[in-house]
Amino acid sequence: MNTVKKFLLKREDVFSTLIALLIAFGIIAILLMSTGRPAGEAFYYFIKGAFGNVENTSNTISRVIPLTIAGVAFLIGAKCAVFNVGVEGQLILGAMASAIVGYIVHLPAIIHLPLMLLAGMAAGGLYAFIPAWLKTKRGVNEILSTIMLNYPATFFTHFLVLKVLPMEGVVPATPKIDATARFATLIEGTRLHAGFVVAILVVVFAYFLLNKTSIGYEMRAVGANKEAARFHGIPVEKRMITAFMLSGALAGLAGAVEVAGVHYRFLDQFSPGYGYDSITVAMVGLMNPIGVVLSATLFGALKTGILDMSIYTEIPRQLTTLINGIVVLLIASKEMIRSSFSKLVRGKEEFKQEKE
Amino acid sequence: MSYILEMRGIYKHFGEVLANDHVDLKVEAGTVHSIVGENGAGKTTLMCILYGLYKADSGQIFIDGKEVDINSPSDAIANGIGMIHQHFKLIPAMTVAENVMLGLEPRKGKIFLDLKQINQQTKELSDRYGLAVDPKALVGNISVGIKQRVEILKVLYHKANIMILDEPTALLTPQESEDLFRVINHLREDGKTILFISHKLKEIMQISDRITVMRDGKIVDTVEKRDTNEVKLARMMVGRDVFLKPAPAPKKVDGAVLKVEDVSAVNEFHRPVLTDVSFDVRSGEILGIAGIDGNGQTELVRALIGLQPITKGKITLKGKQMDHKPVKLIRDEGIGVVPEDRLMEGLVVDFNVQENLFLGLQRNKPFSDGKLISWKAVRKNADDLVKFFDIRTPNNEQKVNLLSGGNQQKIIVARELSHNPEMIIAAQPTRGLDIAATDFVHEQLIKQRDEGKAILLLSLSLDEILLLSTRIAVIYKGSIVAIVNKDETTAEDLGLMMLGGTYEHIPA
Repeated sequence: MNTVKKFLLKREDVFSTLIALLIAFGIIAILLMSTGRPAGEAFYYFIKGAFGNVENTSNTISRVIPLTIAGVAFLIGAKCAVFNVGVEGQLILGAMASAIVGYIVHLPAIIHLPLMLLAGMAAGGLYAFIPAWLKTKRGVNEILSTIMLNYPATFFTHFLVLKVLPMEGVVPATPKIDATARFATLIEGTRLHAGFVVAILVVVFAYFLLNKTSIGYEMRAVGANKEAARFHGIPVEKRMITAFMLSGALAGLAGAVEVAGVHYRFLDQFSPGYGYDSITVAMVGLMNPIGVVLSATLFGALKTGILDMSIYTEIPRQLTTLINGIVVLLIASKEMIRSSFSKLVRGKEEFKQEKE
Repeated sequence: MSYILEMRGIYKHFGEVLANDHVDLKVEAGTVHSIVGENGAGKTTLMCILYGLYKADSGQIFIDGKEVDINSPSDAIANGIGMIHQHFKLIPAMTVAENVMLGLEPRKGKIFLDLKQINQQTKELSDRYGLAVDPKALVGNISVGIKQRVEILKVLYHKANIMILDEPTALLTPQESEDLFRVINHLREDGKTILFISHKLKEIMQISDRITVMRDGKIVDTVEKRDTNEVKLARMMVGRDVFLKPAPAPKKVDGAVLKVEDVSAVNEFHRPVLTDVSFDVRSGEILGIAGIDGNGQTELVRALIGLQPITKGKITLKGKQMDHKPVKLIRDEGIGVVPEDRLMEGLVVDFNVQENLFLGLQRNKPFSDGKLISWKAVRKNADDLVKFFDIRTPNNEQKVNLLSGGNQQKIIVARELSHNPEMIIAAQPTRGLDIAATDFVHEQLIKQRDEGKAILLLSLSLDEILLLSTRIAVIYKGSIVAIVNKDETTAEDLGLMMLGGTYEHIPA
């Protein structure tokens, strides 16, 4: 009994997250049933749509790739007290930069592909320098500045696509990138591409950086307690700028990978909100690189599974937005769930005792 | 002799921890009865059982000889028991009077609050016990000491005869504590019974009639105040002899390790916080800095380690210039710091024990080659330090926010001494610690001194300064007003200098 208790408490955060997700899906089920829709059937088509066959699974994974990279981007900032809500804008600029490098220069694949990915990272990273500088030198709250900076990024790319860059076909988009700048498609007829190797590398990189290096330790110390970090000789502002730009660079990389693996060009309205989703992904993933992979899988599945569900059960696709909202709400109230969970496992009085 | 309160055979355990082991307590009416013990001795648990916050596993409670059943605070209040918690439970947006009456307000026609009555009754109660509280003041605007009086008023309004005060002086300044003791004496004269929970021996000896000592969930003894003294109480609390006596004279005092010459600094509003501060700390001595809170102690420590820019002057360590250098460089030159704010400056509370034990050394050998961390070295360091300094933790991957204050401080002391600095700055090193932990810190400082380290001790407690220092510097309004040898001064002289050399009336 006691080992079970200890295990449950040690992984308290994981279990309370799982409970939060269960409650969220419970609420969705109740909503569906109360409007006379079959919840069980909906769930069946949802799973089938996300993982039912090779094609669906591949498409789900292709969604997981940008969510994972963007989720890690947000996480790297958050670990160092930088709340980068600008992942969306950095991702869009990264995609645009990489798309331009992809079609303007002509190089062998071994140079072209890495170069276009680097261009994406550079664009995202440099764009993140603006809020980083504002925050560390001028004390501007980064949540506000990054939200605001998402707009110039969106409209600047919009302007480039419509007015500056040549257009091919009817959709507003840049010309297609060279074959040398593309990721190989792994399964023919699906969107699964070699970019998932990049996602894995990003996760490994983040884990290694945060846990195995001195600078990563310093970043985490800044994130957990700036005052103590300063007191112990850690250059707080420098680390925050590093984290901010790294976060932006990874966001840009997410955009570049999306260009090189899925669209092969920059489309106007490029991102279906990957940047905003990255925050939810990182939080549900408990600010842990491995956790981000799992939660990106959940949110990726949500995007693909909902399609089949809406086709077969006549449940509108807009349900995704609702689900997202409810999940965020419950994750945000996780502390409440955590404390009831603790109480339940520990017994009421022991809990009180520990709180004091 | 009849007792107003008797607790018999109280037994309570939390999981594997036995918090109260068959505790018997008898309290006479109209006395101040102190319950003392180290943190975790079970005194707060016992009081929570009396007040109905916890239910005892077994045991009986008698009030005026009659057995009572207390299952909730409202049962306790009905039986004339009131509790003043360490952390106040008041509503800042309401007035003093409204807080006092909350839940039992006089009404007009059952619906409307009778504000006049509320204010008047509060004023009467306040005047009767000499509390001097303005009923119409907003609770959000009053000081901690006054808030505590509002809590006392609340308990009085509930017609409590037995009042429990749980570590009431923990958040108070010395002056506020004195005022509280006046109030307590007033209450005792009026026939109230006070249960006073504390681990500060000095105030216990000042205020109590009888004293019950608890240790490890058991009662060690109950004694009359006149039959005991601080040393005896400390021995009972800790279970062995403790320091509490002045440090022996230093063995050998050598040349200056740290030299501070004419250092001045201003705060962010360009007000001077340090003015022409000069002193040196020599190898093998403890230089104590005495002063009332807020006279520049915080800024001095920050200036010494490079966090507070200085506008003038020189700081040298072993002849090397230290002013205008980055923090990391100064620390690496050989300064260990026990900061005044344990949780904000000393530790990263979300980090675990082993991570905290090399904070600040994350780029130094053997923990790192400058880039990569060697977790093997980190673990070994933690194992060694936890063992050597007897840090009580379930394991080295325990987050430090779940450890006791004493063990948190041990982590800081262990880390700061582990890289063998020649200069140690200890700011309020024993604030909030119980006797055993205080004793540990004092012992370590004296040991370091005798190994030839230079130690700068900043403390708000004059007793601590007098106990440990070789020389004493007095800081007042950002200036060092005097530096004296410990043997050539008295607490009275120092106290006078701490106040700027003139007697000043300190208003209540």
